[in-house]
Amino acid sequence: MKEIDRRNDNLNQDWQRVDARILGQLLVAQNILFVLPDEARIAEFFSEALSKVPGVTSCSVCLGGMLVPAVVDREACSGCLALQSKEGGMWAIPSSFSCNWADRQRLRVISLNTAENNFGFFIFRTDSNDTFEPYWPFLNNLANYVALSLENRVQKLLLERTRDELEDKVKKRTEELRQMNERFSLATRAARLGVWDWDLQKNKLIWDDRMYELYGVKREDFAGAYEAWLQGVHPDDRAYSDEISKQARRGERPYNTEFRVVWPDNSIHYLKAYGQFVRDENGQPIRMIGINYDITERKQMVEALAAQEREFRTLAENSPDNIIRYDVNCRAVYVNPTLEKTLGSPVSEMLGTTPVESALIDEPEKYQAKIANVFKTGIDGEMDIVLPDRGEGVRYHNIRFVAERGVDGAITGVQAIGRDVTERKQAEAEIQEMNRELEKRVAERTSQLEAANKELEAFAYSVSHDLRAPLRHIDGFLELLQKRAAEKLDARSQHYMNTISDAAKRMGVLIDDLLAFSRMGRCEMAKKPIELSVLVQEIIQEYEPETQGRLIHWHITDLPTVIGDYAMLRAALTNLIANALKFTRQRQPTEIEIGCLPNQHTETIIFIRDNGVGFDMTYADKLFGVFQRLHRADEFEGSGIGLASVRQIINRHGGRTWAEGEVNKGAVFYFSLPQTIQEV
Amino acid sequence: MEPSKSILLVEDDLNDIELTLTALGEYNLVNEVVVVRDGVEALDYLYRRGKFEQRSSEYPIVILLDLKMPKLDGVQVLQQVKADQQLRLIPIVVLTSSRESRDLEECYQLGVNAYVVKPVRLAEFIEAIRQIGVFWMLINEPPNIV
Repeated sequence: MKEIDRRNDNLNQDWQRVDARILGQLLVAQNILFVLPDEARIAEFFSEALSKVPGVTSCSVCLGGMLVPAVVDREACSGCLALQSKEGGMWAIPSSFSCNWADRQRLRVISLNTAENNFGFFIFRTDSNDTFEPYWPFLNNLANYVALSLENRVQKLLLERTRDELEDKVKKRTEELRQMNERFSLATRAARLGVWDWDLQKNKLIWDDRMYELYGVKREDFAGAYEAWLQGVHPDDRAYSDEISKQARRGERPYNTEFRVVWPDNSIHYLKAYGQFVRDENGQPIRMIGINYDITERKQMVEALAAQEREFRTLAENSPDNIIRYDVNCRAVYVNPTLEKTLGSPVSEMLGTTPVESALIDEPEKYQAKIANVFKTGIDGEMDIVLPDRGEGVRYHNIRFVAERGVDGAITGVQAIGRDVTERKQAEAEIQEMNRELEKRVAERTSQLEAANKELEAFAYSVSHDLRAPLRHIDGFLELLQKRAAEKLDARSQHYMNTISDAAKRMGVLIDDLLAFSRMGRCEMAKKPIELSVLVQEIIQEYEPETQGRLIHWHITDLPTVIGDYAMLRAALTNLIANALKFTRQRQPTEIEIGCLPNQHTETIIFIRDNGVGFDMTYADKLFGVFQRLHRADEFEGSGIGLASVRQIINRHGGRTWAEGEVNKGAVFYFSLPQTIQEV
Repeated sequence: MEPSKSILLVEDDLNDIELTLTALGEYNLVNEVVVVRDGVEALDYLYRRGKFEQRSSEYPIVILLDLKMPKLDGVQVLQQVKADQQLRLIPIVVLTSSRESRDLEECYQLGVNAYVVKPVRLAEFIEAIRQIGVFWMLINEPPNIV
């Protein structure tokens, strides 16, 4: 320090000796130090100024390790010379100075030091130490000044930078806060939260807009104090709400509560409240900030659910069905009173036990497996169980197992709903017994029928052989007799012989018809579609030779196609048409209508109407009987088999036959055929 | 040697035998009509046993067979004859009162050569018998049965 002071003194002394021109330049340089923007130019400026100091051949200013080569020979400026500064730090000196020893003797270095930093060096090469020497203290002082100025500048820069950073940080923080605030405000608005802020010291309660909505009061009607808030709380909830607040204030519990508020219109609303105390350094609460929100809807939903639950429970309690609910371990969690009565076992004994454990029914393992299966597959199950006899006979119950599902669809339980089906079971058994009996009877009847049919067949067979032979013989021998004795017989004898012959012939016809009728009842049926209109036309044509000379008006309307046995239906229609022709013989003209009744859905009804002699409805039932005739043979020939055959054929097709008529006013014969799906 | 041209008539009913023989007689078609009264006799005749042991070895040129007979009926006779390697060659005409389809089918299944239902009217019956006689005696070439 003494050294510096001495130098400063010297400098002051030296001021007089220093060339004013140089001084001026350096003073300019001092100002420049604060004006020039960068170190390179500062260094350049100083080195130019210093090189004008008497005795100096060249000067270099090295700032922060920066060399300004404008004043030194560029070529010489490669390589560096390590130089020990006064303080012992090593500096790299441009190589232009590292020439020979003699040169070194002429090198002068002044460090630009402050207490904190070393900013560089002034490096001189002198040609005349004597000339230079007087400037030495001055240059030292200048170096100090430059260093201090640089230090000042550095500090200023540092300060500026810190300030900028700080400002940046504050700005950023402010923005963050703003955003946070916005988010919070959005959140509170979205959640419809009311925010309150209570200054405990001044007992001032500040609400946001939502708070007023939540309490149903206007801003101007709210006194803004704790007591005013408490006044809005439902009278029944005030005491505990106040207590909770006090406990929270004492730090005994967090402030987290629910209470009802009564609006001025007397409507009641449920609120939920959270709050946080701000305490001073002594832990005394000074402020409380919190939120309120409306939970009325949720409360109502919970209440509604509870009500629903109560309703279902009432339903289950009063159901005539037996109801048990099982948990996933097949343990009963609910048993309704009906079941309690049915089993005669108290609910308490059944709850918490599995069916196998309680063993109140037969085969409880099978029953429990059904429950487990519902849990496993999710498919509802069913089974019939037998309840042990409790003095009133064995009871059968039908149980349905139904899955209970949670919100996520997972099975949370199984309900077993049982119903006494004993009566149904008994009825079923009776029906089965009746069916068996019926089947047995049908089988018996069938075999009887089969036997009868066989007998009938044998009978028809022998009729066919044995009844016909005598007829042939009567006729044969009668003819032989006639050949031999015709001339010898008188008219009466001849008449007798003719009568015998006619009678034999008639009997032959009867036998043939009867056999045909019997065959009709026995033969196999081959059903196929039959176009009735075609069939009717064929039959009418067949009769044309017989009806020559008669005036007959045929009225044949559209006839359907039916399903049936062709040969049989042909025989039936032939019979009916032949009858119509026969009994209209005396009618001129003859009117015969063949048609189909309209709009019959389950059956097709065909009718044949004629304007013939008709019949007395009293005997309508006899018409279709075998050998039943309403006319004498000498009036209308016939065997009495025809309509019986028709009925037989239609019966075998599953249809019906009937007739309407009036004496001398014609007759209508009807037959029906069932309509089947196959029908075209 | 000229074959004897005999007819075997198997028939139980005397009236029918009479009518048949009358009809056959009208045309003098055959040398001989052998009448047997039931199925057993018919087979005895064909196999030359019992009372027919001594008959000539000639076989009838045709058998007229009734169906409904006591003991062995016509169908059974037909069955046995047609089952015999030798006898099956003899033509058999079933002559019956019935046209039961059951009989018809059975006889043809067994290999009957003709099936005739006896007409009720005598004239027709005589005509039928005549035609049978003409056909089997004169038109048809009989097999050689050794």
